[in-house]
Amino acid sequence: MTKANASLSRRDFVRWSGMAAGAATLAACAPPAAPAGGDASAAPSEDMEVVVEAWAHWEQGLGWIQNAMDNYGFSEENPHITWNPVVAPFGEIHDKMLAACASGVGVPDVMRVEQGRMAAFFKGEEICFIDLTDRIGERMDDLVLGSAVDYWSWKGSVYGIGNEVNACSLAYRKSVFDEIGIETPFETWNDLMEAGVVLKEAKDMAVISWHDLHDGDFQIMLFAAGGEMFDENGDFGGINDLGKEILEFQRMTIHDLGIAIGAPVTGDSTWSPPIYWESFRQDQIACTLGAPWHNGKLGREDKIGPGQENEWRLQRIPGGFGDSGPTATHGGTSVSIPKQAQHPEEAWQIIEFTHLTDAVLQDSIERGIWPSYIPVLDDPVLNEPYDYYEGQVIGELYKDLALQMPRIFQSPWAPEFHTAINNFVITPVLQDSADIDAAFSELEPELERIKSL
Amino acid sequence: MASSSEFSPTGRRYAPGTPTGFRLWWHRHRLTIIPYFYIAPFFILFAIFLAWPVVRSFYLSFHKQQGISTPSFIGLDNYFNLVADPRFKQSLLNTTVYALGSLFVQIPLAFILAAVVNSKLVPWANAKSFYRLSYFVPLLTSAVIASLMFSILYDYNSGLINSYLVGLFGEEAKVGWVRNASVVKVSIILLLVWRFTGINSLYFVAGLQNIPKELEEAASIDGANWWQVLTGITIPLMRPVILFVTVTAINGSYQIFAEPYLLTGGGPRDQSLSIVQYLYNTGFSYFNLGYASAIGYTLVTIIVILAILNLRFFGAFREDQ
Repeated sequence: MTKANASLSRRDFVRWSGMAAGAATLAACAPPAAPAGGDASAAPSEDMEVVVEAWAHWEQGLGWIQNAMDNYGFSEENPHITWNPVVAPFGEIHDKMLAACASGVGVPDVMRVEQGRMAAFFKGEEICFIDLTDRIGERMDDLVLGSAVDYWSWKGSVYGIGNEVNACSLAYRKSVFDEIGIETPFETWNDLMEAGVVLKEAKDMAVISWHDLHDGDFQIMLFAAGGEMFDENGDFGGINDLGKEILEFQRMTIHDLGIAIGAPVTGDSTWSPPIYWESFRQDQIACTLGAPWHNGKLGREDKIGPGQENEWRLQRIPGGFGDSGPTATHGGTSVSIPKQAQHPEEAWQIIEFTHLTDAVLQDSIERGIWPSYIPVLDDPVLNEPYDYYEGQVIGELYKDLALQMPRIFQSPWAPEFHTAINNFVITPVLQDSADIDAAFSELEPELERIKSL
Repeated sequence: MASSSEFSPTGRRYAPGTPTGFRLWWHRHRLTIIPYFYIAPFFILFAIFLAWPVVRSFYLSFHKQQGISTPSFIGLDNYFNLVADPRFKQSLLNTTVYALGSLFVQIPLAFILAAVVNSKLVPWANAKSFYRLSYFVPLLTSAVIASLMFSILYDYNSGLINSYLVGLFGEEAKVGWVRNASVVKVSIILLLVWRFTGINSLYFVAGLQNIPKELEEAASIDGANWWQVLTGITIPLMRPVILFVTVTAINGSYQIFAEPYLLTGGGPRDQSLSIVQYLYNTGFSYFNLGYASAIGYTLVTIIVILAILNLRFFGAFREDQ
C-alpha cells in the first residue's frame, strides 16, 4: 500500500463519518428490546454475569441491600449477580422512573418508589411494574401488609414491597408531664387534651403541633380510628363524621383551647424540617405523632438530639376516635420491578432474599428501622433498650403495633387529592378555623373534577 | 455497449479513472452537500431534543394520556378543562402578580439603581465597576441557594426578618412569610426582586451610557430641570432598552419555576403556585401528560400575546420618522 493510499482523504473521512452517524441514528431510533415481563425463560444461565441495576433517591436505600447480599450469603451463593445502585435526588429519580416507564428506554431492574409517588404509576390502564402477588404467595402472612404492600398495591395486585414497618406512635416528653403531676401514657386524646390545658398554664408549652400544610396527622389519626384515606376505588374516604370529628379535635386544640400550635415547618418541607426539631429543643412542644422514621429515635442528631436524654417515651396512638386503633402506617419506599427490566428474575431473587428473610435486619442495623417482615421482630437487634427513652424497649412496642396495623388503599389520584385536601380543608380549618362542613362541601366537587381530567 | 454514465452531458467519453455514476454525482455536488454534514449535528440534536418534543406535546395536548397508557384523542377537552380548572386560574393569577411585581417594582428599581450608578453620585470608575459587579452577583447565585437563604430569612420562629419585627413591635408583629396565604406572594416577589433587579439595572446602565451627553447638557442649558431631562430626553431615548427589559422580565416572570417551587412548594393553598410548577406537577407528579401539554401550550399563547402587546405598547412596530 502506498503512503498516499494509507492516509485518510477528506472525502473518505466524510463518507465514513456519514455512515457512522447514520448507523448511530438508526441504532438510536430502533425500538427498545421487548419487555421481559417477568418471563422466567428470558433469564440468563447462572454462569452469565448479571448486573442488576437499581434506582433510588438515597444511597442507604440501596446500600443496605448490597450489604445484606454480602453479609447474609447471597453474593457467595450467586457470584454471577451483582448490584448496581444508581442514586439521584428525590424528584429527579422519580421523574426518571416515570420517563423510563413511559418511553421503555433505559429501564432499570429495580425501582425504589416512595409511596407518595407510586400513585402516578397507577394512572391509566397499564401499570409499569410486575405483579408480585403470586411471587410473594403465602409469605404474605409474614408481612405487616399495611406497611409492606398496601401503598404499592392497586386493585388487589401488589407491585412493590416496603421493608419498613412504619407503625405510628406518639412520642411524649414524660419528664415535663411528670413535673406538673400528669399521669402518662395517655389513654385517649381527651386525656392528652386535658394534660395540654395544664401544661399550657404551667409551662406555656404546646402539648402537640398539628401539621396545617400537610394532611399527615389527619391521615394517621383517621387510619388509627379505622377510617380510610382512600377507598378501594381510590376515592377519598375522609368525608364523613369520623373525618370531621378528628379535624374538629385538631382545630379546637389550636383555636379554642390554645394548647396546640401549627407545626413549625417551611413552605417547601412541610413535615419535619430542621426548624421543626428546633422547636422541641426550645421547649415549645411536648408531643409528636409519627412513624419510626419520624419519632422512633429522637436522640438522633437530625432529630431533637442531645440535651433531652431520658426525658422522652413512646406510646401507642391514644384512642377515642372510631375504632380507637393503636397505630397507623405513614410513609415508606418500595422495591418494585418494571415490566421492561432486563433481569427481572435476578431482581426478584435479590428482593426475595433481602425482604423475605432475616437479611432484612441489615437495614435495622444500619439505619435503626423496624422491618415489615414479622418473623424477625423478636430479634435482639430490634429489642435493645433505648437510652434516650430511659431504657424503654421500643422494639416491643413496635412489634405490638405492627401486629395490629390497619390495612389501607392507595389511589391513582393520591398526589392531587392530598393537595386538594390540604388546600380546601386542612389549611383553612387549622390555620383560619374555617367551617369544617363547608370545607368538606367545597372539597367534594374538586375531587370529582380531578378524577375527570 | 458503453453505458450512458461513461459519457459527459455533452456526449464526450470520460477519460479512464474519471468518476462515473454516484461517484460522478458526488464529485459534482460535494461542495454543496458537505457543509450540511458539518452543521447536521446541531440540527439532529435540535430535532430530537427540542423540535420533536414541541411537536409531540402539541399532539398530546389534544389527547388524554395518563400514565403509560396509549393516548386517546379528546379534541379540545384538555383546553376546555383548563378554563374550568381553579388551580390553573390560581396559578395564572399568581404568575400574573409576579409579572406585575417585575413590572412595577423590579424595573423601576433597576432603572433608579442604573441612574444612580451612571450619575455624578458615583464619580469614581472603580466604584461604578464595583456596583455593576454587585448587581450581577444575585443572578450568579443559584436559585437553590437563594431560596434556602430566603427561607432562613423568612422563618416564622427564628427568621431574621421576624426577629427584627419582634424586637421592634413585639410578638404580635411576626409574619408568616411563607406560611400565610395572604403574604406569600409578596415574599416571592421580594426574592425575585433581589435576584433579578441587578441584571436589569445593568441593561439600563448600558442604555444610559449610550445617550449622548450633549443632548442632556443642551437641555440643561436651555433651562430644563432634571425631571424634564429625564422625561423628555432620557426615557424616550431609552425606549428600546426599556422594551427589551420589560419583555424579558414579563417572559421570565411567566416562566418562573425554581424560586416558588423551592421556597414554598407552591403553597400554602396554591397561593404561590406558578403556571410552570403546575405544569410540572401535572406532568410528573400526576403523570397526566396530555393535560400538562395543554397547560404548556396555553402558557406559550399567553406569553406570545403579552409580547405582542408589549411591542405595540412601546411602538416597536412603528417606524421612526
